[in-house]
Amino acid sequence: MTDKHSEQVLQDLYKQHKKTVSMPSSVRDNIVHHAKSKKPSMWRWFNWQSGFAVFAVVTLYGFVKNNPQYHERPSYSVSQTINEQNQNVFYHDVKLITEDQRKRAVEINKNAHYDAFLASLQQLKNRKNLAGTVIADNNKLAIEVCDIGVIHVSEQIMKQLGLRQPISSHDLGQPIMLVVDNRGIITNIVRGGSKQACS
Amino acid sequence: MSFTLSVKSWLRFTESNESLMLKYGMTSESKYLQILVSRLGDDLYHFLLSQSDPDVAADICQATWEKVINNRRSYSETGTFKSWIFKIARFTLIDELRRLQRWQFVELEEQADSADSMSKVIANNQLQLQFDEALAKLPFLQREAFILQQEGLRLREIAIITATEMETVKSRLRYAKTNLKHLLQLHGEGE
Repeated sequence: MTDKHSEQVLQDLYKQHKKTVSMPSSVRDNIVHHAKSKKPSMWRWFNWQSGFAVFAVVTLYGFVKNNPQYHERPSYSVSQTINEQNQNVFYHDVKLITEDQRKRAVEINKNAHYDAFLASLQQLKNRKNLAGTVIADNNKLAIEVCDIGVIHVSEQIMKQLGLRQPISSHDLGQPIMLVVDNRGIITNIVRGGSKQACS
Repeated sequence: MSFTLSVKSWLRFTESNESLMLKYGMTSESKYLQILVSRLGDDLYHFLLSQSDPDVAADICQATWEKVINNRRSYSETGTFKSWIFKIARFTLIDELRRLQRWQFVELEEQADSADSMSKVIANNQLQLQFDEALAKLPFLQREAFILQQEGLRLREIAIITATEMETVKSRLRYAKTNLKHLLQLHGEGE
């Protein structure tokens, strides 16, 4: 038997000796359990997919946060006063952040003045179509509606309604119809109609 | 789908232990450690079992892997992962044997006595049984040098693991093999 041969025999015997031995499964399980418990919870679910998703969400959030048009809605407000003729005067306005917001439903800025306008509407038989007349009030053209008073409609509302002609383009004494929705918001302004004579 | 899986398994198969350990250190993903355990778990346990008993071997094996897990971020690719973990295992084992007062530092001088005591092993008929018993009866330091070499570790790595000189490792290996061959009646040239 050569020396090389005896080395080979030792190797074979060693390999055979090893075959009979394997790490107990309980030890293996304990090691894996220990490894899992050592993984920080933050990293437990962290891989490139989740990392990319978090990055995308944070970026989108920052973008939306810095662009009010994506989370603010147009604010519709009514303010009330009394003119020299002791008539109720209601100023309707809408605050737009961007032009794109026209497409969005407006958010009502509720206050006592707005409630007063709604209360005035309650007195009318036809609360949705307010027949009125173009008048001059406080050096501006407005619409006089019998049983309500004078209504000023801001240029912003005209834009919001997509009406190209401003109130100033109307003629004094011209009959006009204000279309109002259930919430008291002016949704359209239509020329014409019967001339109103308030008593 | 199956193609993707086979490519993945192929890539995993070819990935070195060192690369897996570095990835495990960076990500703490237990899947990398599980591959290392499946590759080296039995080798390490066999080494520890050869140097102690089943209870101690299981405890030290688990303790060694836990040290690997706890020190995963400090691993650097300065040597093979196998030599690194065997070194941890050896020191952990010796600490435990010292604690149990079972550690006796026996150097080469004892080889003659041990060879005599092992002569009884020859009575066994089967060569494998003779080998198993002869291996078990080798002195601690000779047996570990022999096992580490059989595990594919180089002399330099064995010297590092056992914290000794390469010449000493060579001597231990020579005595270990001479003893084994003598007991197994494997006579090579020059003996």
